[in-house]
Amino acid sequence: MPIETQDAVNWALSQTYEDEFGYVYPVTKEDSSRVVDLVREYFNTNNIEYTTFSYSDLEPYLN
Amino acid sequence: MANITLGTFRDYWKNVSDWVKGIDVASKPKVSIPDGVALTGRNVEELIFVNAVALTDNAIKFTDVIDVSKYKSITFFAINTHNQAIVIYPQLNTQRAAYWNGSAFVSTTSDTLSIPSDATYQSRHVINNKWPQLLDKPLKQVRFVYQAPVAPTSGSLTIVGWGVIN
Repeated sequence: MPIETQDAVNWALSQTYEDEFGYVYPVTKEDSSRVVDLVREYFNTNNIEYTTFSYSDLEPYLN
Repeated sequence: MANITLGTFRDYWKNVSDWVKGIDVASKPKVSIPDGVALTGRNVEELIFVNAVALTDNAIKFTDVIDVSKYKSITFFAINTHNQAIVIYPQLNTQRAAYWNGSAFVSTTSDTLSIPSDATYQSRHVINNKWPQLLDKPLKQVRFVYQAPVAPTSGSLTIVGWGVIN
């Protein structure tokens, strides 16, 4: 994983999302899809190169 | 038709309750619960075949092989938040699987399912009905093959089963 992964995870866990009824929730580490998607968004936004990864690759950075 | 009073019902259920709890020492209960075991009524377990894999290429990939023999039924679903559709199909153990459609055997390799993208609401796409001849039968070991025909640049794929314990 890129060396920026911890920063990406920290950023992901500081985000919120809105459901279809307008309720806003914080992203938690149990929400695997959102965490991975946001980490990927962080990589893309900051031009960080990465290859295929999954939630299990992020688990060391979640505690 | 016999008339039964509420009092008779109450006495009947109290007797059953006393028997189960062991209060009725004369007949002794035939039901016992080991220490540390709680009856929660929960008989559904979650099986994660692949957990939020962020695909960056169009290579063919496989989920883990999961032993599902302890479940009498499983609801399979996929969550695709990639910005591309993902093609999936099941295999039995690690082998090709084919089912009889009434006139010929059809291999799942050529009968795939495209999971549409939904990054906004993360829809759970239930996939049993695509292969009921396979997925709605007793199973032992299952895995899924998945591929992005076009390499995604965002999102991830998750495939899950909710299994009802035998």
